[in-house]
Amino acid sequence: MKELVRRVSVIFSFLLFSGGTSLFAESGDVDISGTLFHHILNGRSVDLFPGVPAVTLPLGISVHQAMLFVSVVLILLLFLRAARNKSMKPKGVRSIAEIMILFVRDDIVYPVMGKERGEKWLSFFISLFVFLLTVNLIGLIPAFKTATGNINVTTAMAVIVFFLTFAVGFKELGVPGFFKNMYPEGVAFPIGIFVVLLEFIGLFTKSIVLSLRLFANMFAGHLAILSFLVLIFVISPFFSLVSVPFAVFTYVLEVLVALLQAFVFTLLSCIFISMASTPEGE
Amino acid sequence: MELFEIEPGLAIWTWLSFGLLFFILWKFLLPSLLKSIKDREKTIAGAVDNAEEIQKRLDEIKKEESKIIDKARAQADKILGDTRKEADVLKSRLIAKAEEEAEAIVSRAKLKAAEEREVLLQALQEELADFVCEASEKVTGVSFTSEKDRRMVKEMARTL
Repeated sequence: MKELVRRVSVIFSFLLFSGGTSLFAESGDVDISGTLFHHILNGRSVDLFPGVPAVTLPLGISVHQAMLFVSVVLILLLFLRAARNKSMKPKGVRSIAEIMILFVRDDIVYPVMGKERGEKWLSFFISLFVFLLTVNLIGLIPAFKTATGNINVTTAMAVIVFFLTFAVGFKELGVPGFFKNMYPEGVAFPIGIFVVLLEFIGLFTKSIVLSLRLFANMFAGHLAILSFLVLIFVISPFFSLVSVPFAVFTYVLEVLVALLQAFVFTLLSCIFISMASTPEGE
Repeated sequence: MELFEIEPGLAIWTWLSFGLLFFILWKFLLPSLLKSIKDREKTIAGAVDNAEEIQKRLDEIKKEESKIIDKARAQADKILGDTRKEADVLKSRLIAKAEEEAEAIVSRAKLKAAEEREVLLQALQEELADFVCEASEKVTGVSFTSEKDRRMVKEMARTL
């Protein structure tokens, strides 16, 4: 076991280091910020290995689009395989799928929405969590990119939650009821209107924050890893002795952040949707 | 590409990807998974309920068992007590009977001894009377064979 961990660490460090060298493989003229953003931001080509020319994606699709597609395919394959396994004792892929399902059900949806209402929403939140988690994690594979490190993707996801908040609120409480729900009981008329206004603005800001939080966390994590590697070329090759361990540590931290951010996004979405459709005081 | 570059195509692609994923999961894959999880939870809950039921029944049986044991013990104690009492009664009755019988035997023996004594005494008196008569006859030469003489001698022997 120890040997395996050692080997994985060596390979991992090599990959990280080689990823770092690929940053500057293109030319001797170093444009640090440009190179960093090139490896994080969206583009049309993928840098697979150092020294190997970048592969341009077909049909004009961007890397982040490809990452989203790959994530969806991976999730579908995982759940397809899990659904085929009918055993009472979950094993392998099935247990991974069940862990995610039970996590979303027991730690997010049921505590927030309750069992009866939560059951109707379970599929949506499982899909949301699994989608975000996979997209977050897939970017940690060398040569892959994190699509959630793109503001357009996170905003698109936040927009879904935003419209669902309104749609569910209107459906459950009616349009007047939805706005009446924002008016706090026992508050004088002018102040109450002000509160309704704030609550209404809050609906937008919540979604914006939801989007920005996920984007910033994923983007910053990758930027931190690459920044550590860039230091090797900026300071000295010997700095890799410090940089690589730090990069590895940040990488491990990123796995946690990826999980945490998928959880936070799903939990907050669940809370927003639940709050919008629950009458005041309940 | 810029950091905050607006890419409507990517946003639409995100919606499409997520929409497709949600649709397939919701319509085809999750129902069977959720159902099997629910079934398993039901089976587990059923097994737990069953186990609890068995435990409850076991406790009841244990209670009943201890009750039965207590009852049996009490009954045994009662039977033992009753038996002891009966044995005591029987014992005292037997002792009394034995004592009575012994007394009767003793008194019978006494009576018989007295009778024997009387018979012996009578035999002795007669023997003595015969002896006296014979001795007097030899000494005096007078015959004391009549019934009257013998009775007189007997009376004399009795007064000795």
